[in-house]
Amino acid sequence: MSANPRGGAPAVQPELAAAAEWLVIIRSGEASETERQQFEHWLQSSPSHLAACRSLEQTFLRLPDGLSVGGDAVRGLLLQPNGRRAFMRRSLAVALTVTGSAAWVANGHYPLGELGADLATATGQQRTVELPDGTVLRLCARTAVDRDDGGVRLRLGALALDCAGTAPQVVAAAGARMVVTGPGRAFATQLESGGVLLGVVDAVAQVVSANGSRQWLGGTGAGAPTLLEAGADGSLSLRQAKGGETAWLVGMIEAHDERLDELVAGLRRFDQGLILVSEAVAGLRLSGRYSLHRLDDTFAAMADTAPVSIRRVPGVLTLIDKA
Amino acid sequence: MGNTAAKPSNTPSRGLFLDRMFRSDYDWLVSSVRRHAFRGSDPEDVASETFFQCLHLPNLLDLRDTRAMLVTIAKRLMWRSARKHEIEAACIAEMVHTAAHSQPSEEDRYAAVALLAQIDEALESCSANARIAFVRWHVDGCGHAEIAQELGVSASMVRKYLASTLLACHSVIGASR
Repeated sequence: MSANPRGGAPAVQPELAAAAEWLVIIRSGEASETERQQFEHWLQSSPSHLAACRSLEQTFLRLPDGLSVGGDAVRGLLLQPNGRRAFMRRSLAVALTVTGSAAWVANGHYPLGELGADLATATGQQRTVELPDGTVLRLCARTAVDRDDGGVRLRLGALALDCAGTAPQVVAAAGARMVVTGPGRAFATQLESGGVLLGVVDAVAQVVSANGSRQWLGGTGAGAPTLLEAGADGSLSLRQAKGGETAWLVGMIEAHDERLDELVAGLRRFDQGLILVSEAVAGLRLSGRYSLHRLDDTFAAMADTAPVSIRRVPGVLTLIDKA
Repeated sequence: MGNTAAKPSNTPSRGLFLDRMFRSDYDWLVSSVRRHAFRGSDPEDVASETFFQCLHLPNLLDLRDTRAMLVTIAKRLMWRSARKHEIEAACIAEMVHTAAHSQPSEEDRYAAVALLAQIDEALESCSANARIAFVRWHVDGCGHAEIAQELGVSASMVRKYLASTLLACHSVIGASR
């Protein structure tokens, strides 16, 4: 129950009110460079600002647990708290991409529309489910998957299948379909371009794109995956494996001469705070193995091996800029 | 309880005042609630919770019409209880729909529904536009500019709406943490 039963709003601490406005801007992924600088300045100008921000972040990060539980019915309920106002508009399209500002690449926040999926994971969470045919399905963090008759449909994020020998299929973005025909591991990762990266490690699979192109994928048996990118336009093109494609399964992310912004994109699924990469360092090339579950160590290692400065307030904000 | 709320001092006179109020008004309140009671609210529970909330009224001793105050609080509690049932029903319907696929534990589901009821309670104090902005941002993942266009207001207004909903949620959820 609220603290004031008479319904009058208790006075809000000014730093809490300011923190709320900042959090909304910074978490939108639409903050300008100037706003980002002002926020950082504000955050560091008083310990009470940092405390207010952390405290609000805790509330902010708990919202998904409540909002994901009731699906579409809940959206209607929340919009009509008094049952008076009929809100007819219902959105079917879910915006997945977060617009980045010109100079900074932000992860914004994780849209919850996808949490209406049959299986979903939150930031930093992974999940393993056994399908009726014995296939083991693994979900990476921030992943949403629907169960289908013949297998699974990837809506967001990344998944891996350890197939028992039957032929489950994965339907992914852009209408691409992968039918796994042999026992072994296959995986799919949604790409920011709207396409999807499909791969097999030791299984055999056939991929059919939305426009009917077909491609067989066979594992090499040497542990390195065979990869295929299904583009949003229905195209299929083979990709060179970099080695880190399934690293999330073992809690590590591997980079082999990878762009910093791409590497960080892989970490975002595991950090509750906001990670901003300045454009000045986004193109730096990095190699290494980084832990997905001890991000403090991961960022420290990055700062040791690359000419970047990393300022980090765990759970709130990480800024990666020129050293 | 909200950490920003003024802490009333529970002096002996407050205790006496409440004691007197309890003796004169409790049975009357239970029977009033019973007359209006609907599914989900036990009249004695509502009456007890109403008195409990009176404990925290800063101006308790200045109250002239204690019964009017009790009715106001009790109505609010009954409304919340009805809303909670509505939310639980919606969640259960949704879970039946997806139950074959995912089976979160009973405790997790209970916690999630309780949290949702708190979010709902928080949004009650927000404007209709703020609630729409909240749902469009948190549930649908829309951008601020898109929400602004939908509502016919500026993007900075949308940010103000969203900040107000976040503060409202914080005052309810943060207080129970």
